[in-house]
Amino acid sequence: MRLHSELNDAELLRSMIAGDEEALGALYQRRQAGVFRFAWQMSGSHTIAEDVTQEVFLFLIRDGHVFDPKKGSVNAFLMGVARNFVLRKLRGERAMISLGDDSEDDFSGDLADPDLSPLEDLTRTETIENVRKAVLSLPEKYREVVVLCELQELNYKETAEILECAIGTVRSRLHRGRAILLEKLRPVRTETEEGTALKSAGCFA
Amino acid sequence: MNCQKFEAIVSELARNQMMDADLRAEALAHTFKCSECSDRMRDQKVLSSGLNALALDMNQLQAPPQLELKLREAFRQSKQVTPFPVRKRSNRRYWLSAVAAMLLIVIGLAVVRAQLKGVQEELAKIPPQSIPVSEIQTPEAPQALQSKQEVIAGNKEKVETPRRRQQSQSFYAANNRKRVTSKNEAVAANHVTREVATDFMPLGYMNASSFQDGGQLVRVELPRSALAKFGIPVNMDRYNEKVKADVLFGADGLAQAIRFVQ
Repeated sequence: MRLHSELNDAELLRSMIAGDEEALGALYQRRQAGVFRFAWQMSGSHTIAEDVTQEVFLFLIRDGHVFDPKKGSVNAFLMGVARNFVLRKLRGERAMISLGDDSEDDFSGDLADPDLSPLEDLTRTETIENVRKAVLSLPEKYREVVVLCELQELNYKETAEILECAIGTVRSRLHRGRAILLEKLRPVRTETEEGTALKSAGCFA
Repeated sequence: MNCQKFEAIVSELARNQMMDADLRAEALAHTFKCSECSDRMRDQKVLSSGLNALALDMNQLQAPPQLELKLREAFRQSKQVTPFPVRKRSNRRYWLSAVAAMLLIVIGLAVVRAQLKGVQEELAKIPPQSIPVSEIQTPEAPQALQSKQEVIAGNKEKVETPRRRQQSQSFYAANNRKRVTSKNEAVAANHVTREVATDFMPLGYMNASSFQDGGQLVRVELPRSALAKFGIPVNMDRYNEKVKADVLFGADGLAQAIRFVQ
């Protein structure tokens, strides 16, 4: 008899549906971190990330039989479910998200540094925090692509499976998302009559 | 390579994505000629390094350990609850349907039987008057009854089976010839020719086998309200008057059919 650690995700899922609790444990240990991180990176909230992770695996327990291996991997299936739960939470609890399009000016103001561009100092801890905030401030359709491709390091195909869209769409959204991030992180110096002033170029449609 | 084409692939280039080797070489060569595109390339690489740093920073994040315990508990509960109730519920639904159908059938039969019994009791209260059935014209008798021959015997008449038909017909012919000479019979014949009768209406489940052992036809008088029970319109001006009817009894003594005579 093979150990659970030797089984792939689809085999673990089948065992779990058949009633094997240890298969659920193994699948959870293997995939919970990715789901949790994705939910956190999308929402910026530990509470939402925890809730979403729980709901994703409860969904798997209840409706795991709907998984179709022809449509993609178990991981893509889990991330797709997680994405739906995250978007639902974010739309239901918009008031809890402090960083959105409406707070763009304040956010850009925090990033603006007249003496030092954050792009030149991204290795610093606070800059990492700025990047995290910039990612959270992206519109959902760009944010999810940036999170999946850049932070979760999934390839275009896996991302397309999760988002249920074409690979070309993923590529173009990532391109646009990165451009927006650059705009948000880059302070633009504009010459005025009085001298040099800084303003954020954080504008996106 | 121009700046527009470079702009389209710069993020792929900075992320070290797979691309055509010639295209990559052209793009990199362009950065040496164009300072703006060189800056773009630098910004994209810095962004990529920032995103990588963020990814590394969050790499250790995990769901709280107690979450697994909750999920295992939920898993155990889901496996305990699911199996039987669905099947049990569906079986109960079928049984209820079957019992309801049986009840409807029983109630329906009881109602029909009660109605039949009421009519029979009403008929039993009325003293029978018999007239020779053979002399009553029945232009539109039911088909089931047309195959029967009716024989007069005092107040009672026998209904013959088809096997005796031929013999009976000759008997009737002789009998009728004798009756012509009788005054009473002549009056009756004149009376019969003036009578108009309805079709025989069955009283319950009537069939030809009910008359295998003969039957009886009895002339009775009923309250005119009895017409309404058989769906015949009643003249309210003559509501209190009686109406004549012929009741056909089977060998078992049960009323099988009725017709109204005027």
